[in-house]
Formats: sequence, structure tokens, C-alpha cells
Amino acid sequence: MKSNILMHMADGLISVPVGIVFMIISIIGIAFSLKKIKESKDEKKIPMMAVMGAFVFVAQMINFTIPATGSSGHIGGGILLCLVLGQYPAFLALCSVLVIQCLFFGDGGLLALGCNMFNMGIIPCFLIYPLVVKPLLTKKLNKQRIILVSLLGVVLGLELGAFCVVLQTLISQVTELPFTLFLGLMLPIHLAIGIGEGIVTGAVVSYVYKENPKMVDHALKDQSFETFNIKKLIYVFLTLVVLIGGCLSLYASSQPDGLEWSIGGITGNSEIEASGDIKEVLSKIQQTTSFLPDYQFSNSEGKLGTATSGIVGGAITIFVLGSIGYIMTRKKDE
Amino acid sequence: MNKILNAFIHMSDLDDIGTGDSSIHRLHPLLKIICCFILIICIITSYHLLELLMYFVLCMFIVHLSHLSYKKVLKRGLLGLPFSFCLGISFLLFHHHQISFYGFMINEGVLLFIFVLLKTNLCLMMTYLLISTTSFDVITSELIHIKIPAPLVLSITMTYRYIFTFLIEAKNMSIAYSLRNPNSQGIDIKNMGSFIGHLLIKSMNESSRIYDAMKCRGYDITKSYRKCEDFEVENIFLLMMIISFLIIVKVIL
Repeated sequence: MKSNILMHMADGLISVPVGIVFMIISIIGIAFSLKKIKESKDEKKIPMMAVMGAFVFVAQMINFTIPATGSSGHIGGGILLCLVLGQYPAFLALCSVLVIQCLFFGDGGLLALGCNMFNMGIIPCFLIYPLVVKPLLTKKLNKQRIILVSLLGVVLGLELGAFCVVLQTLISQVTELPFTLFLGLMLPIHLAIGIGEGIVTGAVVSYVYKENPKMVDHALKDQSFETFNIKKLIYVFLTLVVLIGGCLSLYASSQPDGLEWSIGGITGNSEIEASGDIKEVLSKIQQTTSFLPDYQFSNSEGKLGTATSGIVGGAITIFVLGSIGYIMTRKKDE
Repeated sequence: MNKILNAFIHMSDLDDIGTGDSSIHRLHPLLKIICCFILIICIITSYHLLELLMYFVLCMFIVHLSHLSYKKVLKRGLLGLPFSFCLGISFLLFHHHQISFYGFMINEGVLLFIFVLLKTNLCLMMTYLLISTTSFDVITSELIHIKIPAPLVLSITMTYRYIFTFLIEAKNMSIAYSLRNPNSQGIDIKNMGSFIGHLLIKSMNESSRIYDAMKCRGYDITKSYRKCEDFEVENIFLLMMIISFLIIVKVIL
């Protein structure tokens, strides 16, 4: 039996050249974000970045049912991270989450990692956030606007991401998925998922705004967090990471997610097998590095495996993001 | 008498090195206490040689950062050897199964015995590292600050301070004994019983006199140790990183 917690694009959906091109684009995005974080030297943002990264990791494990469709969805977290941290730390946090999910939990293909980073990271962080969310919120910032703009931003980001997935399969010439039919299934289901994620994003950002209004404002203006007291927020999100990762993740919907549902609607199977030498090599690498494959202990399935995966995933995200952030913002002795 | 003097000097040394200046000394005391506690739990619950090796490396890394002597730390860790030996010997007697350990067939009892020795050694080294990088008063302040019941903290503090009184009394009695018996090589075994008995009574009386004097001058542990540094975001971040690292080590190894 296969776990239904897997969430991201697999290698079977794309060709090798498409995977490489999108990987290069994503690496450029990561390098640019690292440069921006290094320039900002904002040490106070690092703990928040690590905790929010872990929060998105565990929140992505919670699939919520989309009524009357037989499908489920999970949050992407791009807009949420942008609104709390600013676009560059947000992109870096999201990429770290995706890399950790891919390497240690076998979620999403190694070849498709670049595509996943592009669809879930570059689109919300470098397109929707600066072009839609930021201008709308910079004009006037209040709770109602945060909820509405979050909803709009998330829906647009998810729709554009879903469209890109379809485009990537088209360019990759995956003949099992006809363009119009695949698009016809992907866009409506991701609209529904987007509404769900938008509500979650709005609620979380509203809470952060209520606790520390200046934080969202500074994140919007890419300003430093140096003067804030973010202790309470860190404690709250850390508790949420443990609760969601260790407990709530057990109650995630077992329905196929939007992408699997769309593929299943066309092919009758939620996955498309990856074939070819390169994909096989990459798959073997991924099998070696995944110590909790499919968010379960190897060769066994159970609630303990899922809960452990949630906690361990959160811990790895904190450690990786914390280390990257510390190295980037470290001030050399003068 | 030299041994008593050495012990006294070592205890005073411990108080001095606790106030040293290194990157580990400068860390928040509460952070060090929590990390030490978590590390001890991790060590106790570990049954993998690689994991224990990782903790040993971590321990040596802390020794390096805190500019302590490797030899001294390793030696302090060996202090618990007689106790762990007595505890672990039951494994040798009751476990006789042969098990495969990294490809080698080994007696289960021997393996468990080795684990007990290693774990005791590591736990003692961790505790020694805590007290040699944090002064005892600061540890007491933090324990009071995190609402550990005052009687418990008081008994820990008094036990620690009692060691000094005990050593001073032992030194005085030892001098008195050697002056009365100038040709004796140490304390004769026939006098040892009354010597230890007297030492116990005298040191208890002295401790009780000191405690009474402290109480007469308004000593209250909850009020005497009120000064504490704030636990800043940097400390929370460091704690998060350390716990995350330990979780990863626990799951992967």
C-alpha cells in the first residue's frame, strides 16, 4: 500500500532537459536570494526563517479534503512565508523544505526538484508576491486586507503553478496527459485548493499581524527585524510544528492531492512511471538518501512513522535553514 | 594529607574555571543546563555505538571550545567507573546470548556492560563540563528562575557547599593527627573509624552552624538568587539548533 502523503511532482511527469532547465532557473533564484540575505545581515530573521520553514514543512503534510471531488490539497506556503519573512528568505525557506522532502522523504522526484521549486517557489515569491500581493498591501495594511490579498495571491500563485505543471508536461511530451484535458482538470481543482490555502494563509498572517504588526510591514518593505521581540512568535510556531508534525499529520486526508487526482482522472492511475537511464540513476540516489521514504519507516507503515517524519522533518528544516542563515548573516570580526 | 589538600584545591579550581572566558562560558547558563539535561537523556536512551561516539566527539568539541584540559575532563569521567562497574556486572551474569554487533558475534552481557561503562563516563563528562563552564551560583540562580522547587535547589546548593566544609574539617583533623603522631605515614587503619566518625560529626556541626548564621542574616534562596540574564532570541535559536541536531542524530544513527 502506498502512502497518500506524497505531494510533489514526480520524475515521470517531465523529460530530462526540462528538469535540467528548471533546476538551473531555480539555482539562479537560490543564489540571488542568498546574496540578498547576505547583504541584509539581519541575524534576527534567521530563527524566524528556520521556524517558519519547519512550520511550512509540517503544514504541507496536512492534506485537506476538497468536498465533492474525491481530491485533497495541501498548502504551498510561498505567499505565507513571503508575508512573514520577505520574499528572499521565503524562497530560500521553501526551497530548503522541498529539497529536504525530496532527499530524505522521497517526496517529489530529484529530476523534478527544479520544476517543483519553480512552481511552488519562484512563481509565488518572485511573481505573485512582488506584482500582486506587495503593491496591494503596501497601500494599506489591515487585517481584512491581509485575508483578502492572501486569498487572491495564493489562488493566483496556485493557478499559475498548476498551469506551469501542465506546460512542463507538454514541453516534456508526456503523451499520456493531453494538454487541454490535463489543464481542464488541474486549474479547477487547484482553484478549490487555492481557496483553502488562501484561508489558512490569511489566518496565519493575520495572527502574526495581530501579535506584531510591524513585522508584516517590515517583511513587505524587506526591512530588518532587529528591533522586534519575536520570542512569543517563535515559541508559538515551534509548538505548532511539534503539534502539527507529531499529531495533526496523522489525520491528513488520504484522498489523492490535486495533481494526482488530475493525472488519475486521465490515466486511471495517480502516477506516471519514470523511465530512462538517468531517471533510474536519480531514483536510486533518492532511495539511498530517503531514510523515511513516503514519510514512513522503511518497509513499514504506521502512525508512528508519520508522526516521527513530521517531527524529524521539522527538526531537519530548522537545522538546515538555521545553519544557512547563520553562515550567511555572520558578521566577520572587524 | 596531600590528597585532601589536592581535593580542596580541585574544588576551588572548579569554582574558578566556572567563571572563565570562552565561547562556551559566555553562553546563557539556562541554555547550558537545558542542553546538558537533554544530552544526558540522549546518552542514557542510546543503544548504538556510533551514536555514543557522536556524543563523545561533541563532548570533546565542547572541551576544545571551552579551553579546558582534555586529560582532566576524561579523568573526571572515569570517576564513576567503580559504580558503573558494580551496576554493569549484573549484565555479565544474566545475559549470555550471542548477538551480531556490526558483523561480529559478541556476548549480549558484555555489550550491555560496555554500554553502561560508556554511558556513565559520558554523562559524568557532560556534567563536569556544565559545572566547569558555569559557576555554581549562576546554576543555582537559573534553577530558581525556572521554578525548580526551592527546597530541592537548596539541598543541591548546600550539598555542594558542604563538600568545602567537609574538606576543611578533614584538612584540620589531618594536621592535628600528624602533629600528634609525627612519625606516622597517614592515618592508621585502627584510628580510621573514629577519625571518619569525628569528621562526619564535626563537619555536620560546622555546616549547621554556617547555615544557622546564614538564616540569622536573612538568607532565603528564592531572594538571594534573583539576578538572571534574559533568555534572548539568540539563545532560543541555538537551543532549537541543538535539539534539531540531536533529533537528527537519534533518528539517523
